[in-house]
Amino acid sequence: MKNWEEILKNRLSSYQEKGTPGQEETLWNSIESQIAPATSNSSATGSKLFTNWGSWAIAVVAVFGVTAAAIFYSSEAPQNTKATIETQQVTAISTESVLPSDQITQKANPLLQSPVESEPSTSALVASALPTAASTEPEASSETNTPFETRATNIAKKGINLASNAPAPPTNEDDTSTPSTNKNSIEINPSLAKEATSETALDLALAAPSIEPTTSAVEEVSAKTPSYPSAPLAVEYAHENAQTTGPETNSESARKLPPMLFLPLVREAPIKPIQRLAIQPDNNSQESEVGMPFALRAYGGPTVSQFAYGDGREPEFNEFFRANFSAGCGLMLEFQKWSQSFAVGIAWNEFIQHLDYTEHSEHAITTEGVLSVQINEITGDTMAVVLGDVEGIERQTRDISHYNRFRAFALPIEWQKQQYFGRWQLGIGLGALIQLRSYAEGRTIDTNGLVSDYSDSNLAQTRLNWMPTGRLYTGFYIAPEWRADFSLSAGLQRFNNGYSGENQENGVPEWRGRMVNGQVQIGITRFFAARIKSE
Amino acid sequence: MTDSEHQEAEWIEGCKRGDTAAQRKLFGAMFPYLKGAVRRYIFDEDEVQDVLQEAFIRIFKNLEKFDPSKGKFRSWAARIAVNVAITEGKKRQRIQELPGQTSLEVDPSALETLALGDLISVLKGMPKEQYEVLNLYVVEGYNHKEIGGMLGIASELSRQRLTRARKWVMDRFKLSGGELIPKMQNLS
Repeated sequence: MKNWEEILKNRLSSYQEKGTPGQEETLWNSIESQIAPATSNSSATGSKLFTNWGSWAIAVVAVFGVTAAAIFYSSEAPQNTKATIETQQVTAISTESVLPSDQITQKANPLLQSPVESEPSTSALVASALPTAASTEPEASSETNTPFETRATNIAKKGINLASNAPAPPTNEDDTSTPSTNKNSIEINPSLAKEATSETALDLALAAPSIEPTTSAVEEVSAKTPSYPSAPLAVEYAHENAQTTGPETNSESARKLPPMLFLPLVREAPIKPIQRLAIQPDNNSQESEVGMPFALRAYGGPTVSQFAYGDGREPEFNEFFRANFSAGCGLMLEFQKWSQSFAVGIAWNEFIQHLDYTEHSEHAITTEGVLSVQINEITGDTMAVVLGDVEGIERQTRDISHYNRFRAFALPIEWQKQQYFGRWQLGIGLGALIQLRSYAEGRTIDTNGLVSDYSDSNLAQTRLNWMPTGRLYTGFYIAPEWRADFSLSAGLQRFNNGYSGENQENGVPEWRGRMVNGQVQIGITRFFAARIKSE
Repeated sequence: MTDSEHQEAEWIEGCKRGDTAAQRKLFGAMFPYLKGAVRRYIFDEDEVQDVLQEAFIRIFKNLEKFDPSKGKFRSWAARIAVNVAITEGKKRQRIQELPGQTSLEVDPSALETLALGDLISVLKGMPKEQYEVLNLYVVEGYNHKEIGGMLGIASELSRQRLTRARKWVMDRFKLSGGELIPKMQNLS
């Protein structure tokens, strides 16, 4: 047995009490007389079934008879005239409606006939257009090409045309000096040109081994180049290369350039995060790092907090505590160590929960009241009223809406892992928040459902507390050394007053609970580069 | 399913068919149990009779609603009887002074040695409001929300009454020489 309540339950639930002699029979007789009609009805259901069916059949026949008579009489003379009138009206309406319908038909004819007449013309147009399209672009007839693709195909096609006029492709690279004098000497394999997409056409035009990057060829290609982001840079590079190399573009070194040479230049990030610079020092320079690069992140934003009891109370109690909002701010120092990103800092947070509760209480009271009233049986007059102390129960209801507050200075410690997407950064942070409570006050509910106030002194004597935290953040490099940040952080901390023995003396109930805290952090980060010293 | 439960099931089916003999047998089998349940809430013998009569009538009239898959017939019938007892009890509310709150330790095993009649008689001295909640919570197994709904009070009030009932019980029993002795001076 766990406690006396279980003993009480086992004993009382099995408690049976036999009636006094005759009591059971008397009770049964009175019960039987009351349930007899119901049960007799139910027991007699079967016997009365046929009678019920008979009455139902009679009723159905009667209803059918009445309905048939009503239908018969409704179709007789008095309604015939009305029906005739209605029929004539309907006829008149229908004859009137013929004319508009003709007009409508006449008006509608051009509209109706136009598609029929225009259909041959459309098909004729298509038929007239088809040979042209088929003659110019046999492959394009099957699907609709965008202008971009058409232009790319034109480039490739031009390559085919040029290749047909050009001499056979040289097998020896040294022999390319001869065709380099010809300004229209772009040579592309026709099979490749057929399959060329917009990019492959451009690549083929620019990077094929047989391409002669002369100025005129580049100009022609740039004139045909469709507008897409990376293309201008690539063409510019080719243009510059052609201009700078000039006649020497025919040299062997220029033609040995790999096709992907442009990619690093095109894809180079415009702003490189300073943290990445620190991880990847430039080995080509004659400089070395002296100091550690770091960043300072200042942030602030709303906090949200939800409290729940964790001392085995009924879940109903937690329903009265609702999440509420406050604010917090902080300053973090972000640095790198052991090729990992860390952050420490200082912060201040306030967490608020909303207690929305209706307290019920009752107390025994003794008050003056009427003890008895003496009434004359004959006249009904009140003869006497006896007053005195009467006992009663006083019930009180109190609606409570209170905001529990918890403020603390905190030392956040965090390990970070991030990924870069161009100027964007996405990362997670795992760590802890070591808190030093600065202020707390609120109201709590005891196990009886009564509300008590508590203050900072009723909480744990040691003001230190900690909670594990997690943070999901994203950043955007608005400048080489500046990043705008947006974070969502969450943490879980204990919140109880079970350590203070004075609470019961002060009438504050003890509780054990937890707070789930979250924060939206909006901030900005300034990167400080490492000191570089030339050797 | 035990033999008694099997027998009960047959009687229930008989009652549904309108078999008067089955009704009588079911009544006879349930009478002591339901009287014991009603006794926990109603103190007056005449009132017990009235409540039992009303409870049995409701049971027989609502037998179609009984679902054996949801629990035993005894529990279902006891719930009806308790509901009737509480409803009747509301009509006959009596006012009692709430007991003083003292904290006395009581050995749980002491309750086992106390005669059942004595236990009932002791518990009957408790204020009815608290006694109802104690019975409904501890014996019947209702939660505070359900009790509040049955008694027409807030669940927090039910919780408070239960706390006071617990203190009342602990205040009126003491353990002496390994036996449970009601503290008769506190029962008045």
